[in-house]
Amino acid sequence: METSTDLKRTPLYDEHVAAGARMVPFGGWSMPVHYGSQIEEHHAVRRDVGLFDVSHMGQVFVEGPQAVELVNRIVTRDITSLPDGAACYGALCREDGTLIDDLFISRFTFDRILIVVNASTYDGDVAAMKEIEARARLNAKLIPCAEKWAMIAVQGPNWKQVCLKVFGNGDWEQVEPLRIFSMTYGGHELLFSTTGYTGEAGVELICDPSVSPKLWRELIAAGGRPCGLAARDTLRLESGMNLSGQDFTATNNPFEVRMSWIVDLGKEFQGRDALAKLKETVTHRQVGLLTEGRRIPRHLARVLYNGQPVGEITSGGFSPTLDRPIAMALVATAQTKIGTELEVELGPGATTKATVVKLPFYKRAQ
Amino acid sequence: MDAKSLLYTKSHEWIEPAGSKRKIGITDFAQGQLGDIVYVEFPKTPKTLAAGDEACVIESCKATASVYAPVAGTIVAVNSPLTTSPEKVNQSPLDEGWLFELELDPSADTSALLDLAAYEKFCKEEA
Repeated sequence: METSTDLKRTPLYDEHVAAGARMVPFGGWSMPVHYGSQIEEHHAVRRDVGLFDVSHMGQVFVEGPQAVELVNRIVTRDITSLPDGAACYGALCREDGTLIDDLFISRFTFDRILIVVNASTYDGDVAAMKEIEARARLNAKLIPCAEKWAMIAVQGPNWKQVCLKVFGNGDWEQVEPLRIFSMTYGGHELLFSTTGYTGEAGVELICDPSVSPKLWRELIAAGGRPCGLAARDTLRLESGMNLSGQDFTATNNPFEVRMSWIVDLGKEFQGRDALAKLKETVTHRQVGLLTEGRRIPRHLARVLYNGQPVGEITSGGFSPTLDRPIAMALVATAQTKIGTELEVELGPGATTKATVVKLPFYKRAQ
Repeated sequence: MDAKSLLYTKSHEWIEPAGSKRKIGITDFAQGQLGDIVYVEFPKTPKTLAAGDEACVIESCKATASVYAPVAGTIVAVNSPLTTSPEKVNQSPLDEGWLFELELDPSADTSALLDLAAYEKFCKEEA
């Protein structure tokens, strides 16, 4: 069991405690789960703008003349044609095709690429990447540097108004979604990455830890509402986004969890050969479920078809936007058709009806 | 309700201290642990329970929680406005957020219930 003394603290820890946040262990870190009401924080992101401390996430730079080739060996996605200043979603797999983690790849130039990975998987990701680097013998170097960066996500329809107050007019205003751009803040490099994990437009600001408390306070003063991990979880679930280690674990491959589109089998990368075979033999797939009533299906609850177990809930929760329970589940492929009627166990002796629906549950108006 | 006058259980229910029919709810500590409450599922009344039986179910964003009968009795009323306003359990756990009313069984044993000081001590030890 984790005790509070084992937990790492982000550079914004004191800000969260002073704001009355409830702090919980997450991925080896002490993180704010909410600042009072996770539902109000959720609505703030959908309707206005919310701020998240995501400094627990891990950064790995890949630098050198063959950085593109090395990243291509590491990730499932073919980034050969990813232009300068662009970011994309990808994954890291084992040789057997199972998932180690999902990640974001951002290219500054052909010889400087950033990979951002999840907090709880950082050490394992870095170890796997280093093995690939050693085998590849390319003219490029992995530089894991999570401790050198703080990270703040600014998410919601009014994110630009908040950034305007903090950064003033500038080149950043022209930055489209899924881009990365380097600027200066407080005398340090700040990476302006128009990515996120909420289903809303926004930016992730990757900055020097020493300036992050000042930036956090300025973003709040500009109208951003601090939001915790609980709201982040319901926002990403409404948007049908996977949570690493929960919606997929070490036994799952990308094809099972709606990640086929980021697997480019036409290039060499760790797990490619296994994935080429696995693609034809997928037994379970991820679906969205809408359950009857207001009881909430929870992680690992069994999913039944005609009384027989056919899968389990991977993420279940209350959707503040839809004002009802929603869930994602891994179920046998025969039961994945939209409209299929299933049942979900709620507790001892209690089940509720569930219908397979199209994901995501929520998509923002463009 | 005055927190000082109520009696408590180690499963974080409060119960009125006197009378044959007593209101029951969850404590401020419990609602804080659960976070935003989004649904309360009540049983059909009347429902007779032994001490420790599940009386109703609370769904919060974070978790599903059972609320237990602190003593033996029959649920004779539930706080039905909570069906549409479950957030009242967060906002006012000891007043507007009460859950159900229990008519105590003649055999009901209240001797194991805690007073506020003993309950607060228990919460500190548990934390």
